[in-house]
Amino acid sequence: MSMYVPTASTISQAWLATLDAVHHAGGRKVNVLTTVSEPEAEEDGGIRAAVDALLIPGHKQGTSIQSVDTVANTIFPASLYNDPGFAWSPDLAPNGAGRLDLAASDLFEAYGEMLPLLCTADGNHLGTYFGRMSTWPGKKAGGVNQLADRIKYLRLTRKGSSRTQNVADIAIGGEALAAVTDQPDVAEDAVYIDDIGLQTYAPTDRRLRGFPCLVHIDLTLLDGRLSMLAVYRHQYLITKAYGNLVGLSRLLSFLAQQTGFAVGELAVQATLADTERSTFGGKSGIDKILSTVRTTPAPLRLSQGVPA
Amino acid sequence: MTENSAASGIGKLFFPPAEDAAVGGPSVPAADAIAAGRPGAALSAADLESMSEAQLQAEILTLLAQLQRRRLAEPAIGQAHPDGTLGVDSMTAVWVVATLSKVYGRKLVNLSKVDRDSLRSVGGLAGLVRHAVDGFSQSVGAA
Repeated sequence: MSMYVPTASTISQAWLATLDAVHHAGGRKVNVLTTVSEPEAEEDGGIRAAVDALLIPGHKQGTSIQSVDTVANTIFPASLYNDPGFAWSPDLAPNGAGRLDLAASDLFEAYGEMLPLLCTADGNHLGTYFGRMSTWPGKKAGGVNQLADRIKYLRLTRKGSSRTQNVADIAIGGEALAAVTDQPDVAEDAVYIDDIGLQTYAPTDRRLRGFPCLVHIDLTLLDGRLSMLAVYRHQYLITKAYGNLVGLSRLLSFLAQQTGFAVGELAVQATLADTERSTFGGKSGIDKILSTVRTTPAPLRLSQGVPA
Repeated sequence: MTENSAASGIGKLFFPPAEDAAVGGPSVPAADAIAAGRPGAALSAADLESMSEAQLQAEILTLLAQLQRRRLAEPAIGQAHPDGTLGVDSMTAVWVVATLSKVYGRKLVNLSKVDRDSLRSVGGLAGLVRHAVDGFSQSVGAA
């Protein structure tokens, strides 16, 4: 039976609410929807500290454990993005637009060049999610850049709607396509895409094991806000879910900044949400984790002497 | 790293720059104000083979400045590591190793066999690269 976890404002609260809900429903649930209303909001320092302490890189009961940031980096490698600190708009001066483009290009190029080496890491030999999104099929540079295509499309959409002074209720395809094709100065090589979503696996992929857990990312524009839905086949709620939320929120922020839309909500649909009882000590082990997460204080900020 | 990275094989990504350079808006830093050049472009395999670990650390700091498009004199982004050098995150560390691998002409390491601690600081990276290059040099010498 599907499960809807009430919307939480932060990644941390959404993750905790989902883990708690699935745990109390037996540990594994199908079709669990988690929603974060403010994906860019600051994480709860205590929850994050507890998760970081739990996910020390290594192995546990035969399961590979990676840190939150390592998992997040498979979706969006934040440290490679030189955030210029402002968003794109149709009225942005060429210098500013150039800086945004440069930051994105630098990111794609740096990642593409390191991808073959990155694929030698444990768990990466079949590629990474960001690799599949930025250079499909995702094991080296020179592939199809789904992210760049969607940025280009969304910028055209924004230009079209600003012309009509209406950025509300922009549909992908339909009205959006009309907004794009109606512009007299649309470049001949402008990208028209049938599907705004990002694919992370190929329909021809016949693997039975090791299939990517993240299978689709959908983007939606409504009321001038860009929202994201990520669909996971199997969401590991302790080893992966928190890092996935962090990575997805960073990806959404990047796309919103590069296209000038506000950040909407982030939702994750897990066709199977799993509390990983066999890895973390059974029901009592998860009880203990939940208790620890709820009571871990936020680390002090050295500069302020107050909880983060 | 270039705008509209057609040269990198990624393809033309974004709109071409407008011909008129309008005043206003954030400006791109002058080329001579930031660490210039494609990361690692000025290095050769022979350079890597002859560098001491201290020299490698300095070169890695230059690469980081190029990656972050900032002046070499500007403070590096990151916290101090207990080994006394600049701490780096793992993604940046892998980029450094990949860049130096490109200079050297072959993958310097297999990440699944690397001690994670060597990817946490500039000092760790320099030691990792030095060890890898020495290993290749010795195997070539032995052959």
